[in-house]
Amino acid sequence: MIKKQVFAVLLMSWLAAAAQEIDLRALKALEAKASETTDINLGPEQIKLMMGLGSELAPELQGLGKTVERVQVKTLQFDKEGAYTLAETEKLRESVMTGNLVSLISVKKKNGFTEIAMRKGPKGENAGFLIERGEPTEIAVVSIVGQLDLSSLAKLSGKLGVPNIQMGPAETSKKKGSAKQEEEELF
Amino acid sequence: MNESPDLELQLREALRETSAPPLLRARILNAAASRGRRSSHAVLWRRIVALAALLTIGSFGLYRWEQRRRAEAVAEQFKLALRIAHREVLEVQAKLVVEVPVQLPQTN
Repeated sequence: MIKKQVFAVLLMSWLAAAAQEIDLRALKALEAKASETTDINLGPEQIKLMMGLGSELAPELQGLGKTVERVQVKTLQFDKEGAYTLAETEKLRESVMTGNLVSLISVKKKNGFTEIAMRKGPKGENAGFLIERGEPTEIAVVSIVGQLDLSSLAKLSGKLGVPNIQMGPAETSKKKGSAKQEEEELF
Repeated sequence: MNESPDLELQLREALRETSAPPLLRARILNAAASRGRRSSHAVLWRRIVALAALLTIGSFGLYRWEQRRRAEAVAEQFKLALRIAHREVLEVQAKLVVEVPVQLPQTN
């Protein structure tokens, strides 16, 4: 009886963890055309492993490790425009926008798209977010599962190697340039 | 003095040179060899145990080192993911400000 309960709990936690992972297979075909790709997929096991470093981790990272369950990042950069069509990325949006994601902002243009969705927990609480952005020469998908919202992410400015830029409508375009510059230095 | 011939006889009998029993030499050599074998077995076993202990400690150390290396790699990836997420938020915010200008109400 206990064995069955343990099995059920394990199965449910596995299903929950699997459900949180977004399906990015739609981007597989575009990977071949990309000149540069970044692919990060950290699940609960990897985050647990990272937390094993204990006090060696920066305090911010320790805090995030306790609240974030999964981090997925995929970016594709293309040498020239027109490497993909919006129809191709439509598959991505269909496969990603499922489950507990609530679309917050959705902008579609001729040569790109922007989508921000919030992830809601079972009690309606914040459980992460999803950003999809398509530019003529770049596609980026960021999915975070856990108690990290956009404002919490903004607070990481100047910490953990995140450029020290205050997010706000004023001077955004000016600071955007410096963000890129700082990131280029970091990478 | 009557007893002296007997005593003498007994002494002579006791001190008489006798030949060693057959196979005594072989038995002694055999015993010495088997003691040597036992001691070499013990040394061998000690070496095996020491080697096993060394291997166990070494494997554990290697496992811990590998785990640590992986954890550090995950931490780096985690930080990179956060940097990209931060950059994406900035990009989206900048785009939305440019493309969807919001007219903020005047306070005075």
